[in-house]
Amino acid sequence: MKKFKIALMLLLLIPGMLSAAEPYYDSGSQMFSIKAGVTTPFFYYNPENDNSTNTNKNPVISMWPGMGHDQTHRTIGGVASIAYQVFLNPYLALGGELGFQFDFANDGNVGTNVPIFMKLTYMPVQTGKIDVPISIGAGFLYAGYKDLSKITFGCEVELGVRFFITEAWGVGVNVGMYLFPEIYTSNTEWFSMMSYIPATISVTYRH
Amino acid sequence: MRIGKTLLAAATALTLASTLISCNLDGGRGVYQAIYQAPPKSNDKITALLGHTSDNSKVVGIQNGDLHVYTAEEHDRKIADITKSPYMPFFFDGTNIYFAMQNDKGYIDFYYDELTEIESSGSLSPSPATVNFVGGENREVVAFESYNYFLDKVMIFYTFEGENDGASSDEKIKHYGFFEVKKEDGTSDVDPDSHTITVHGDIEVPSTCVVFGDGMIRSFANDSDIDGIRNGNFVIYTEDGTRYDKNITISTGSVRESDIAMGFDGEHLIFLDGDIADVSKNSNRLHNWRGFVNDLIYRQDDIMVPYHLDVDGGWPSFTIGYLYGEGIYVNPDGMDDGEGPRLISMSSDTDIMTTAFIGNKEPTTEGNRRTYEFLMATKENGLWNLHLEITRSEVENDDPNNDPVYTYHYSGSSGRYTGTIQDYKYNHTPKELV
Repeated sequence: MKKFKIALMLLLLIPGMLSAAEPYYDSGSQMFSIKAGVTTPFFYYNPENDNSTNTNKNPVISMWPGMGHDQTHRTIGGVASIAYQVFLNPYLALGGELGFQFDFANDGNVGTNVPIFMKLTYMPVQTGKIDVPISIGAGFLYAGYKDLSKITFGCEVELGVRFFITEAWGVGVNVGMYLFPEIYTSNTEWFSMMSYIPATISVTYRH
Repeated sequence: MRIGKTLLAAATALTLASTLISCNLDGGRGVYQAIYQAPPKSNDKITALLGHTSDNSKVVGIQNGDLHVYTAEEHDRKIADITKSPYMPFFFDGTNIYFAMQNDKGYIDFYYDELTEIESSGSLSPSPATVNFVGGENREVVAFESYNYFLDKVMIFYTFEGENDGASSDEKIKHYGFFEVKKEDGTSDVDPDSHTITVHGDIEVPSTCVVFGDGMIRSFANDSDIDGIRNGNFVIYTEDGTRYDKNITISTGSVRESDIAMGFDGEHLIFLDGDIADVSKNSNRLHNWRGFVNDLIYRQDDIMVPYHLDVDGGWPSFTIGYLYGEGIYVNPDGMDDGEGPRLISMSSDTDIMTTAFIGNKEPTTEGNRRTYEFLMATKENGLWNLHLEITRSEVENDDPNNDPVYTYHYSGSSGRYTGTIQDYKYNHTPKELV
């Protein structure tokens, strides 16, 4: 148990030791990233289930992919995005990200989400070879399914690790969470929320 | 600095766009709800089986609105697009497909076309046929419905002009009749030379009648106020034109939903509330099994098409059926008093409606275990396979001179079938009313 505590403390100290080094980025540094990967439906929440065959409008909270009663009625899907960010100071970068996410419903039709987010990234670890970006994003979301569509808002959090093969080019892995609320001001029975866990690989160019 | 200004401009643009979107947040309509509520992927919908060739090598049906054949070599093959055709196919006698079509005067005319001609041309060119309704000569058929649950017997509803004078067409008295494509004595109610069909029965029935079992229909003396299931007598008619005297009135007065029979296998009625009753006991649901299946209220009308198989060689005969929302149901013959049918399988995909059984394979026997394979057509999931296994164990018998006595255990499973109809022979035996 004692060994475990020591190992844990060392692990927690590593980012601090790394960030204590001279930061790699300067104000005005730029990053351009392309990502692709899979999304796992995390949960679906509907406080007022508008199912015409069910007169009891009970809230629906379902989790994980699958078509079962307690599942989100979506499959594992795919996601891709491009992002451009500029460093405001050596640790914070601000920019935008355009994404495309899709999965499949029970009837085989595809559901899509197109997030257009402002993205703020905190870079606590930046050695020149390895970056650990922590990001939050928020903005618009276009959701579509068959002939239905909706423009609403969305947000995300993301944690990544990047390894730079050359001075400018790096590859990385990322994991995060999307939160897509479908907001209505008057037809509140249509409100529902979808959350995903994206897992992606990325290629980054920095300058 | 220039980058900072660019970012500021982008942020301003996003803020403006956010404001605009915020002003129109009632645009769109429940995208995520629609995805969550999406029905299962649509599979082949076999809405009717019209009949089969005498050697069972070919079955004709309506799949996804078109004419299809199921053969020993192919799972299915579309032979004609009839989705926009005015002709309604209603049975296949092994050579010809027969059609009904409304004429210019609003009456129904009948036609036939050879299957081989349709297969070769890919289109219909029917010729006139004749249908004789016993007791209804010289009157025109104004509406026609057909049910062919059993491939060799067609039950039909129709109405005649001239009755219910002054009433609107939808209030005309409905008649119920049937014809057999292949009788036990080898004859048929269909004359292949003159293309004449003779319809027996000719029972006057209320307009709410539906077929719900082997030769049985149900109705109500008064058409109802809600979906035809309230305020009236519930009546069962047999196909020979008589009402079923032993247990003709299941309930009188205000009919409760729990009194609505949804399935019949020649012996048992399955009610909307999930109970089951033995009509042979000449009593009003005194012999019943409460809670046989889950509550069937709000489910579809045709929940069960029973298939009765006469078996020899020391194994029991039985009826097998598929209950909508439940799974496989088996009713062995010769049950002791007080014993009822049993559900033997809860498939993961139980919400399917049966169109008709296509047939069964020859059973295989290994020691005290016998297995059966059944094939049926469904309205949502194409061809559907039922696997039934019966195991028997001998009861201890003190007298070695007596025949062995067995107890039987039934188990089964089911699933979507993608093979051909080869080896599935139609062996359905109509079950006599007790």
